[in-house]
Amino acid sequence: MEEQLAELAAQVAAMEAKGNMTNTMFAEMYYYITIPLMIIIHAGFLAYEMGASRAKNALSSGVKNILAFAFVIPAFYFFGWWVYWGFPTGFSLSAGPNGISGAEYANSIAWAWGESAIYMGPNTEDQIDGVFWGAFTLFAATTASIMSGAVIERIQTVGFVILAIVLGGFSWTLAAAWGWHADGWLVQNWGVHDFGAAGLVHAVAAFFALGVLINLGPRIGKFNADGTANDLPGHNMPFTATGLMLIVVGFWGFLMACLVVGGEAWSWGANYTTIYGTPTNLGALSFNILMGVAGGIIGAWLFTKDPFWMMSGALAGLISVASGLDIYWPSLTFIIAFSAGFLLKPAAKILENMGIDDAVGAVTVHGTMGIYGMLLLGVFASGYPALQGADAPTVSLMGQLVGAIVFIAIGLSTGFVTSLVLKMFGMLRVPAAAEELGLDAVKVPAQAYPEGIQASAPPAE
Amino acid sequence: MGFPYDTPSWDGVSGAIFMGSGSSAPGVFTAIAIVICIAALLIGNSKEAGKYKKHK
Repeated sequence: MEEQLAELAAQVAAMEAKGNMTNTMFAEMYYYITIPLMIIIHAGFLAYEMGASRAKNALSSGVKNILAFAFVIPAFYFFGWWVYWGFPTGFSLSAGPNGISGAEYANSIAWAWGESAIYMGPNTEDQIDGVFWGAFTLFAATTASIMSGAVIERIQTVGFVILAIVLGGFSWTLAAAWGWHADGWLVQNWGVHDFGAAGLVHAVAAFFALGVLINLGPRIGKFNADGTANDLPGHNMPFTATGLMLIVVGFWGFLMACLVVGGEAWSWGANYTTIYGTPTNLGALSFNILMGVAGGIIGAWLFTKDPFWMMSGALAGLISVASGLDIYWPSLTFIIAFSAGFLLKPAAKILENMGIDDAVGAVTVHGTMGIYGMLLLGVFASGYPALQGADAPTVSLMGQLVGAIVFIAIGLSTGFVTSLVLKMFGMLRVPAAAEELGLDAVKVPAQAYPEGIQASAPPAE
Repeated sequence: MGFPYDTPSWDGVSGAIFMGSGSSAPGVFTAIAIVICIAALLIGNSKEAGKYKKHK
């Protein structure tokens, strides 16, 4: 009898080990898949930016976008991952209530040297850290791409890459440490809830771009002497609209990566949760992402009839509801996203009237709508627990407002200061003669359209 | 709309977690969303018809 019990116990233990391994492999595969899905975002931004550039700048815009992607990855490996784990409690670098933050903790898991190196390279006993890092790295690269479109056709390549490194390696990561990490002071003290990163990715990147645009200035010919704006249309609208749709596709991976898979080392329990440990699942994302995209497109179509703004409306709709994709009711998601799509172009016009030349409307799509979404969540989700567990802080309009102000401040200040320093060193803006000629002819040893482009029909009134 | 459960904690919560759960709010929002869709089609059609009038 005892032998049979021992054998049974051994069989149960073996089954449990196999179950755990299956769960580990599922979690590893889950995050792994989000990485190529998020790279589709970059394919989209690449097409979008090149199409939104005039033909004389098409390839140089592409070069800059590709380099941002390439440089943000090692930057996030070298120091971005450390910032996320080191800074949640603020600049004190002390440990937070969950014991997974602060300088000492970050030193133990997030440096690519010393004892923590075992978590930053191939390791048979650590299957999840690499893919988790990979997903976060793609969040970082996305912030650089958001900024990239706003500054096309007049920024220097290396100056831009330095800006991308600061944004992707530090600015958004600091915002994520404060507003996403369970020990983050914005989460713990103010109940900030930003599930899909409307503020801490989109708004931070957009306001970083705004800080850069202030120092960079508008493209030659954008504004007349009396302050009125001219339209500088890109050379390939179909390419731009397709790129925007690719960005929407990639955001399925981005938002999928915002979920925490149950039963793993980084998990809050056995089920899917948000990064805050609060309940949600893939069903919630499916309902709300689709309704958000649809609402944004319809809202923008009603106001503009323009495929560029319609696809921008899809992004704006999605971003306006991203903070609460985990708990929104789908019809409410649609209504909010519709309003974001409808308001998008007038909001972009306000920025243009202030003398800011945002070539693709990135500040409005990602910044204005990101903040709009954060604040609306404060209205609709007021009283909802912002974290797992008893005595958790709750979501409030005031908390969301504080979070929004902090995210704006992080983005705007770091973007402005970094670009100001680059400007002082002559590394920000290309010479006027090079801008007039076109940047492809100046610095790209390839030709976008060797056989020219046939002109299409003029636009309708 | 407020948190639909008695205590402001997710501990032990299972089932519907969306905003307005258990109230009439979801139905109201769905009705508004349907109205928006129909209104968008009506307005869009009106504007489209206006464009065609110039090219008859």
